[in-house]
Amino acid sequence: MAKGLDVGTMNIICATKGNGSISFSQQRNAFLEMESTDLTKQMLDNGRVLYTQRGSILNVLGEDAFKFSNVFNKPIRRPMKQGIISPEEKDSIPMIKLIIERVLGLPEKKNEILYISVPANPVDNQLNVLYHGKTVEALATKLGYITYPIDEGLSVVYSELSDSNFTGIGISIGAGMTNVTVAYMATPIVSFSIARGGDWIDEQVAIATGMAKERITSIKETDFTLGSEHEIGSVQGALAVYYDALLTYVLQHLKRKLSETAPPDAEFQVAIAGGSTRAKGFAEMFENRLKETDLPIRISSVKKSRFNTSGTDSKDPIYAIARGCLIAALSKEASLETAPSTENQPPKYSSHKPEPIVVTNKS
Amino acid sequence: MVSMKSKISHYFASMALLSGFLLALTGIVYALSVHLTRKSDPGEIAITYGFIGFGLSLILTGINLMIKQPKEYHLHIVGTGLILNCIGVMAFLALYPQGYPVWGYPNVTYVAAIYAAGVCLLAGNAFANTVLNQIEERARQLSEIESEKVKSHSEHEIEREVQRTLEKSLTVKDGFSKFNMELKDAEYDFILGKGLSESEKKITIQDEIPEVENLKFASTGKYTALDEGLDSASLLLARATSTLSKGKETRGAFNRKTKFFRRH
Repeated sequence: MAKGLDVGTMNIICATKGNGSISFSQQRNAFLEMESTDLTKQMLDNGRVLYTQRGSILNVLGEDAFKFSNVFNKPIRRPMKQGIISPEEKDSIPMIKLIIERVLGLPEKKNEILYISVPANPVDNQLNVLYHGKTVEALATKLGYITYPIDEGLSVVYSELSDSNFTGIGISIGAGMTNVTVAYMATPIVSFSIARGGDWIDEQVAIATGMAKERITSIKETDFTLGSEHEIGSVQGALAVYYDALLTYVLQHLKRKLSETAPPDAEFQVAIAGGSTRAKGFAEMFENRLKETDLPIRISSVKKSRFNTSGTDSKDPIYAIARGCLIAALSKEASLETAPSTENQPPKYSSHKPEPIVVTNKS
Repeated sequence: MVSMKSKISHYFASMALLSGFLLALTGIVYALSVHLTRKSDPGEIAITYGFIGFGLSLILTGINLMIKQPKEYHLHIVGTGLILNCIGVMAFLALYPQGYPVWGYPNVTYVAAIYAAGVCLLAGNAFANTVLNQIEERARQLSEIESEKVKSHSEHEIEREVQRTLEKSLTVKDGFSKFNMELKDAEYDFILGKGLSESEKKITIQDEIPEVENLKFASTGKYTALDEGLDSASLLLARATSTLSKGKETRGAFNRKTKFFRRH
């Protein structure tokens, strides 16, 4: 059965189709270095904590890394930065490999299809995403999958904009990057990313308030609502300021990119997804900023994946990208099954290309 | 009605222009006939410049009235200009023959200023209207050229262009390299904790994922659907056909018998 994999700066999530259901396996893309002692190891083993040991150093992986980071007030290490594999982290690839192997597992059948979300090249940075994409693909191929990269913004469109015939704008605001794709009938027209996301907000707030970045992340995820009224000097107030700055920045870039193209005369629905959109009041703030931006296209409505705090809803914005990847993978699998036997071998390392659309004059 | 009004307006403008030319010409001829000089009789000078002054005013008025698609307040400006000119000429005719000091400062200045204001209004209005009309005409011509260019593409050509652009967007612009990077087998240089030997917990959610069929439809234009009714109908039809063919065989045997009996 085909799978979808979202390799994000903060989370790595795999989506698999079951019988009338979707299974998500998720792991935080982070680790924390600790001193190794017998007592510590015993404690970690008893608590079923994920860790690796190299000499006298322990690397605690995943969600537990964040918990220990807050307890011991130590900075966590991140294998990815600004949406791609971090060049500053020497252990990034082994750690990502370990996390991917864990969430993805082995393929259930030979040549199982896997769609992997890949960011678009950023418009405000010299970063190139090719190396990151190829490395992640190679890691999955090593496990036995046939891999296809898919634009992160397009996966949001696939997951959320089925009602509007996959015509609209998919915006994924993750930890490291913000990805934007404008699609018409499931075909991307404009696709770009911005090297700012939730981490940028955390960094700016940490600088402004003098608090540790990990603490800011924790407050943002647990005790924050986007609104206009905040206490003077509060972290929440600073978070609101930088959320607003990020949205304005993203929408201005979207306006500029749209003005460089000639989008078709259609109504575009906007879907927002990604971990940084989980904040309460985000959709309202986004809608307000969108109205003020005056984009050169017609916007019908803004759609945000329903957020359920119990974490058992596939429409949680954090799962939308993995779900979009899974939709693309299942669609590809079905098209290969129906294709003639000579074409049954899928081309390796080709990007997801929807069939060309034949535009006919309906009148 | 509009046409008649337009004709009258054009006739009136022509008459004004012609009258102006005649008056100015009369003034010049009169000046030549009386050998007009600086020291001529004030009456002769007044008559000469009276004719020329009125003539110039009528020429300018005629030109203004001939302008097509005049702007707002056009007639008001022309009327004001003509009145100012008439006042100027009349004042000249009244004051000049009286000589100095009546025809001296400041009366001369007032008369000259009034007449000059009238000429400026008439000439300026004619110039402004002509220039504006030319600009508008050019804009209209450019717009017509553009619309002709757009019309010159058939719907088929536009569709083909859209198709070509879409195909290009799916191939050239996708930016994904075809390089196949393979990794060597590498063992971890670290020991895995006990927790990593256990399988990852999964969150399972009820979700039929209808988007898959919608995406296939959006990409290919074909919709695949399970239709149990169609399947059962096909089965019934197959059974019915099979029963029918058996019946035909029976009837065939019977037919053979009937034929046999008939032969005898």
